[in-house]
Amino acid sequence: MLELRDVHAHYGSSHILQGVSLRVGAGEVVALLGRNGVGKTTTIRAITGLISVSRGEILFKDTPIQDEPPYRRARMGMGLVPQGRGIYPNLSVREQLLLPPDRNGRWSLQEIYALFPILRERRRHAGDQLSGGEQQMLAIARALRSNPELLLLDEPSEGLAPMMVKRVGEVLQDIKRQELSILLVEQNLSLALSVADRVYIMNKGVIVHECPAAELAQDEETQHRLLGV
Amino acid sequence: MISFEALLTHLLNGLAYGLLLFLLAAGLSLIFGMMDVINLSHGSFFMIGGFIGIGLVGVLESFWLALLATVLIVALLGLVVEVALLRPLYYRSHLDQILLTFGLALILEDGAEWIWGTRIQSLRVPEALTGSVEIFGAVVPVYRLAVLAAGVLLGAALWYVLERTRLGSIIRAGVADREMTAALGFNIPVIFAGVFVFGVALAAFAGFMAAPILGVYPGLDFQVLILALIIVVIGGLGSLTGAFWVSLLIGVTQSFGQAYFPAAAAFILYLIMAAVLLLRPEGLFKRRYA
Repeated sequence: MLELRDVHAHYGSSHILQGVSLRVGAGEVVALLGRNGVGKTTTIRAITGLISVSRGEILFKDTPIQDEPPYRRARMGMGLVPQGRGIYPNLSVREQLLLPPDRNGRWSLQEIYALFPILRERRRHAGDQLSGGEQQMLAIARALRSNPELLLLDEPSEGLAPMMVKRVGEVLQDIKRQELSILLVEQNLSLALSVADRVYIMNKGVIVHECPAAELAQDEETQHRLLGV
Repeated sequence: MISFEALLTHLLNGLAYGLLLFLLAAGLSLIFGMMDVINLSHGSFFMIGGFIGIGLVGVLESFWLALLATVLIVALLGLVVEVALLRPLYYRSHLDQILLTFGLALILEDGAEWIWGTRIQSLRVPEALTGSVEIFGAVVPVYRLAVLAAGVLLGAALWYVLERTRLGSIIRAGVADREMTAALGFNIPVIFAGVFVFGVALAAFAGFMAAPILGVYPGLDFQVLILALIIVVIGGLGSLTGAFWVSLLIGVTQSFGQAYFPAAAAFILYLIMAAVLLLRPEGLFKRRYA
């Protein structure tokens, strides 16, 4: 589904991604872990095209996309739940759900409301009138509305109360059952391990560890060394 | 003693003037809100709309055809400016953008002077809209009422499109968060160009409609640009509703000011702006389309 080969990226003069290689198979849920500032968000931005890649290759559905603009990657079937949620303060919940371009698929407005009843209740409210948890649900729902084949989630549990983190976990389990490919960046290790099949750990702009999620769950030494848990 | 009739006449004239300013300020505000670009050449498109309009009315011998053709021609000019000059500067500093659009405004003003001269030119009101009507005893030119109606209709249409259509939600989304909107699958440069060209077309329309009232001359561009900037600042950057009410306020203030306190008319505007900036630096209306 998605493959990164030796991807490099810069912010100004700082070399953030120093050769990232990873892959997400069809229907697979992969977590990308690591401490703050190791390049996880930059990896997501490179995949979506919001930052340009200075070297290396990104393949999506076997097509090189590193030179495609963000909108075309989205239309190929990439859905993004960005860090900070990216909720529009000035659009109603319903408007945000109707925004994504029509890509045929199963996530109709009705389906979305069935999975997220709170969004139906709040459909007339503007984005800035929602709680953090509601905003996160909206961000996920909005990404699903474009019927993506690959869903990219950047820290969906960030800033949420424990109850809402649990809810995000349930939602991710639900989505996982739809055979969607998911790349999940997450600081909350237990949430990540509860949904992921496989994990990559990043450090200083490169992938330093790869293993099945179940294996990392047992491996406290690696957790401590690379994640500081 | 100031008569009620005179007051009403000044009020309606002020509202018509305010609505013309609104059409100009709406484009300025939309372009700023969406692209974060302060377009200092916006008033030039207003002036050029007037000049080209006067020329085309002479050639086409129809006010309405000339209006349509003027808006199309100036919109095309706007497209060229957007693609060739502005697009490379979107990710540069405000100062670079200000230098470019200010330079463009100076070139367009000199160009206008070179082509059309410095004389104030006027446009004859079309046959159907000549004469005046009496409203509660006040004598009001029909053309001013037509400008009022056109301004209200266009303002309402603009509000409807922005607030009630999918195109409007895409534009509002782009205003709020460019990157997210790109990541949702929208071609931001194309949407930017569309908004810019639309804003320029509104300016040209306003400039054409204003020609019979204000006349057209080099210098008009900066005169209306400053008013539009004041409107956008007082109304709240990026707030269309704010721009609407403040445009009316400024139009009416100008109209009464020039009639009763001509020496203080301009001063009153700056006083309002200074007061708003001191008391509510974010403008009277919160930034929030529309």
